[in-house]
Amino acid sequence: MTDTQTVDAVLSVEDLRMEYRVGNEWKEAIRGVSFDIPRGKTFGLVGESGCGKSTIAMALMHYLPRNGRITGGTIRMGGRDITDLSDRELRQLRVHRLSMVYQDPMTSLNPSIRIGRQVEEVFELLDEPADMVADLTLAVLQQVKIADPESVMRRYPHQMSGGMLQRVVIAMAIASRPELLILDEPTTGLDATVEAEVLDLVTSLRDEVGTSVLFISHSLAVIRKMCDVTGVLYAGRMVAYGPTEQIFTEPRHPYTVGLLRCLPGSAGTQGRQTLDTIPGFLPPLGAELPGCVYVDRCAIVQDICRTEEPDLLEVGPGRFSRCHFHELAPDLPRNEPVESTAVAPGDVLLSIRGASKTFHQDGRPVHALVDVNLDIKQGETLALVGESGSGKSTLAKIILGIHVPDEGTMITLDGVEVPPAVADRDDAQFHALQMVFQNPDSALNRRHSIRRIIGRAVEILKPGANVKIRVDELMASVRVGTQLLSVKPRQLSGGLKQRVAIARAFAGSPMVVVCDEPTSALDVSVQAAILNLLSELQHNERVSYLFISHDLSVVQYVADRVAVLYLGRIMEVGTSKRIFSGPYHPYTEALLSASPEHDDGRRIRLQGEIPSASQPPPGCVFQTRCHRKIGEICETVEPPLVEAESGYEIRCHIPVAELGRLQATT
Amino acid sequence: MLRFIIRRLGLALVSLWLLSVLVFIGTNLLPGDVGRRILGPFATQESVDLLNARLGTDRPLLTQYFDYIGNLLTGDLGNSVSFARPVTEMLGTALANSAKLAILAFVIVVPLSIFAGILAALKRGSFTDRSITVFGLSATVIPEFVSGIVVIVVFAITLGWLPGGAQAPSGSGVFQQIRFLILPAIPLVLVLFGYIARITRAGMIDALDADYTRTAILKGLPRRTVIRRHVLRNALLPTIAVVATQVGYLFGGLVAVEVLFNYQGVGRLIFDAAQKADFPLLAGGVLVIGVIYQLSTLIADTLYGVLNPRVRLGAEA
Amino acid sequence: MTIASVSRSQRRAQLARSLTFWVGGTMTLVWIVFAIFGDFVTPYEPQGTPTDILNRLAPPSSEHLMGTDSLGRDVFSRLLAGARQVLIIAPLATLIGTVAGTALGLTTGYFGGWVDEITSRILDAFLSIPLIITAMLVLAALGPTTIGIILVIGLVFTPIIARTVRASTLAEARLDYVTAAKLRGEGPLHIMFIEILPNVMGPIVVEFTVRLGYAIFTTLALSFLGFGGDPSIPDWGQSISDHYVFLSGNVWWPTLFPALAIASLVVGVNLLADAIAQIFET
Repeated sequence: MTDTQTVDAVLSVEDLRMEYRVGNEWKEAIRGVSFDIPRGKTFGLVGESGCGKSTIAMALMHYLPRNGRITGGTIRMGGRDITDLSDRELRQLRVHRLSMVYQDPMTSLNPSIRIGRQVEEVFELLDEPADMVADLTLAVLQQVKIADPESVMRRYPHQMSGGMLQRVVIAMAIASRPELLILDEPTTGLDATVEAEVLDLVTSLRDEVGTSVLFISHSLAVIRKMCDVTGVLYAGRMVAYGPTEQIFTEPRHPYTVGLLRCLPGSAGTQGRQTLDTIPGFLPPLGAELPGCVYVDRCAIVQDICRTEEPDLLEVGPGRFSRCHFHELAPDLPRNEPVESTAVAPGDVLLSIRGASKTFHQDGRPVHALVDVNLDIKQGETLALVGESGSGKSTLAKIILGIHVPDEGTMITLDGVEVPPAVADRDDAQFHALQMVFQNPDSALNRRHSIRRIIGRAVEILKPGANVKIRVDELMASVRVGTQLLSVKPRQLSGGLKQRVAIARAFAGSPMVVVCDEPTSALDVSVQAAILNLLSELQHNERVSYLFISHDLSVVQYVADRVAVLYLGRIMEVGTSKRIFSGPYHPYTEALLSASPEHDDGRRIRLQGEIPSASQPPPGCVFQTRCHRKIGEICETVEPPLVEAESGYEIRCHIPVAELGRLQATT
Repeated sequence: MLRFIIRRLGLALVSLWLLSVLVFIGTNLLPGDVGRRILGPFATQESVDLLNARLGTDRPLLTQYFDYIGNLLTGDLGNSVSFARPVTEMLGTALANSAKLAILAFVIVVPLSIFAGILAALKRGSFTDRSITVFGLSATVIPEFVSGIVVIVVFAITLGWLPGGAQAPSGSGVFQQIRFLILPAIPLVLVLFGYIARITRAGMIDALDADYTRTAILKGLPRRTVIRRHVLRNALLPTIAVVATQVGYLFGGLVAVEVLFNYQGVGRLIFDAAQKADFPLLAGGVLVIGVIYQLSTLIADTLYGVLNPRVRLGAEA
Repeated sequence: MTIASVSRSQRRAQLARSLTFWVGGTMTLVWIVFAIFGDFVTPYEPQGTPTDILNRLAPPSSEHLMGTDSLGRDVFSRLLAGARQVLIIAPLATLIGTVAGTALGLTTGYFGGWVDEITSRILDAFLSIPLIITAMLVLAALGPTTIGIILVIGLVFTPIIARTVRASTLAEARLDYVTAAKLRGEGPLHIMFIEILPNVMGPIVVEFTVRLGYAIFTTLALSFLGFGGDPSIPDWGQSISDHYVFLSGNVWWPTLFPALAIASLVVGVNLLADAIAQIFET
């Protein structure tokens, strides 16, 4: 990208090409990517899985997997090409000028070396005097806002949470005050509340240390929040590039436009309308792509796109789009909006009373769920929200009978009490209660064909039905071609696998389907299609959903009612509209504030992490992290869950009106 | 940590108790009429009955079992039928002999195989790696008596470098004894080498591919430091457990080796006992090996716990 | 970067390229052929004839390629005929151990809890004694017969294979497809054998091939130690145990040739096993 080289760039990549060996063949993964990282700025690389983001990050560090190689291009930093450095020079580069933060902090630190020692190593490499190393380590841990750094230095990684470990990794990365800091999905897998804190930390450190940042993420919201300049990758090719705000507000590439429209909560998708989707699949590694890389999935494709690849065309100051028809991109045709004949929810179908679950860990009781009461009406979606450890999944598993709840729990389905353990339930109850799992790879038996997977579910869950006809019917309803019936799951994409898993759950006309993070393992374009499918099935089958998600915009999009859980207790429950419009429970307020999509400038950051359920705090369980704590009463008396408004319950010592007043002023 | 050790010790004791039951079943129940088994089909019923009465094998099984357990706890393993000597005494001398041979084999094989495993992992996919792997693999499955024959033919008969028997003349010094034990140790070394090398290689490769190793490399640490400080420690942990289980299994190999080299150790004793249907001696030998196995895995697990902070300090979350 | 999972045809192609597969396969195949057709190709009667005794311990010559043994029988003929016994015992014993171990491992891995706890203890007790010694103990008690040897090796393999299958089953049982099966009311037998078993076949196949090598090892070691069943059947281990005493008299041929035969068979089987394991592990 010669045009942008006039900018003062800390690192420039020019026509980078990389290949992976699969079996005996080398397949192209990066097909000529160029970009500059402007000094002092944050550059974002965004794209769906398989587009080559992490591959590029590893190339910049010149750390390639055993089956990967660079076949062309240059990576220049300070006048030198990183791909030509000797081992010694490369090491010096990594020590002084280039640092990285990785995706999974739990595995990124050595399990058998104390934290302090691992950080000290960095200072030793910087040739700091030996008697200074410990003090410097302490200082850098303080800089990343780790509480009680002296004790942290003596700990081992397994004694710390993911969020804390990521701070340690960041501390090691900034210790050398590098010119460039590469962050590869640094918050993926962390709770939104922890993510918000880590992102805040990165922002403040960037200014303190004065480093440039390459920020890699699949999350559009995170990229938008963090980056000055953004490049959009697709199939190993940069398809759009420019100032972040403009990329997001006036996208000029059909892929970028499509991605943004897939997001629930994006402009034009509010309410019950179907989401836009991107049809088709990412081209496989090494595919021959004579024309535009996006040609197979583009809604405005024309003949020239198939034969001739567009250049990165300048579409504004510092803005580029690799599209022949970039001026048409903003007007990409939308999905047909489906008639939003909102069906009013029926009577209460599933009712949970006094649900508690105590696990025993090393002889100590862990109260994962405490006295939860909930109702799900026919045809409605009830969403469960909360950080990990809040008890969402435990509640779902109790309903399904996978975990047997404590004495005193009562679950009734259509007025009939359901036995607690799945093995004691009868056929009608098996038919009625089904589940869609988070990870379709785990949910489908990889040795069985699709026909066998769905066919078996039909045989069991819909006795008497003609299996072949019913299987074809289900495949049609989840829009998977019957030619795929004979294949094994691994031959399908993630989205198709999830469709098969949904078809299986619907094999016997269920009444309640538990959806446990059904889209969080999927890319946004696939997520949109799955959410559409779920809502269509709900409309046609009058099924109720218990929908678990950490993504508040997805919840806002799908849920009729929302229950917010914290440490196994319901903090707040009400209609989706009521929960998302406020006044909020302080915990919900913090969750919303942490969510990158909902970032409205308010910065309520929860202190630390969710306490252990084996030793819940006295009084209100949220008091240890509550920013609106009013005093001693919070520490001594657990507030009851009270119906503050019709159909809205909240567990807080502060009256709702008062909460509304407080939240209006901050 | 203390809790871990106590729990581990408890498990070892349970295993030993179960083993004693299994041995009791094997030596008292399976043979049916013990006296008949020992004296053979041609002995008169009278002499069989007499022997059974002398051995106490004519009493109810439960009585026999409690007697057996009671004696076991006081260290009394009974008398050998064929040698008419206390089993405990016989095992004592034999164990000392076997220990010499076993220790020599371990001293050779442990450093050698760990080094080979590390080398193979560092040169993954190379000719060196394949050679070590294929050699180790082949050596592991060749029965000790087969490699024993080959070393005797080559080193004792053809080249005449070392003695073909294992028993040094009485009164020999340490070096003399070692000289006699080298050939018998080789088959044991060969069998253990491949297995330990393979586990070491696998542990190394896991550690080399781990994210924390990537972190260490990308910090800018020199490769040597990365391997010494970050890789080896995590990689060798699983090897410790494997070496310990091999201490027990080594006794399986000792049987053939001691027979072939005519060496008076526990293996040879068990062989004689099995041949002569000398069940008290056989039971004693098996129990001793079980104790050694449990002891060595107990030590290994404790060592593993000490070296692994996850066990030593327990998980917090 | 995820690497596309390996399909069956890719596995086959990978096997075809593997040198260890071809070398190991050939060595094994040669012995299988001798085990089946050995009787037709042996130059002399392997069981010996009454006149043989006149030509005892004759060194290798053009007449007797590998010399004769202490009863004057042709070592080469006995070598060819000796493959049969071990190639009947070892695969059958391994099969028994694999089937029993798979059933046990699936059950303990799937049910977990106290069933698992108790079985694990018993297996640990079992495993604290080397195979060969357990086998000797049982054969001393029951008397050595071919069936007895097959059963006892199968028995001692059971806990080892069960342990592998249990570990794989534990990992599988945590996957959601098992939960999905429970949610439609499938019984434990369906879940263990129809849902889980196909997914743990890889480790089972690997374990079978590896154990086959050890079964050969154990069978021959037992016959060397005098627990080889019918003494009239030509058998490598027994040939060695009958003749190693002659080594000191420089009579090496009746011992060394069977020893090399054993080495070639176990190495062949093991290389084959390794090639198969490599493919299942990638």
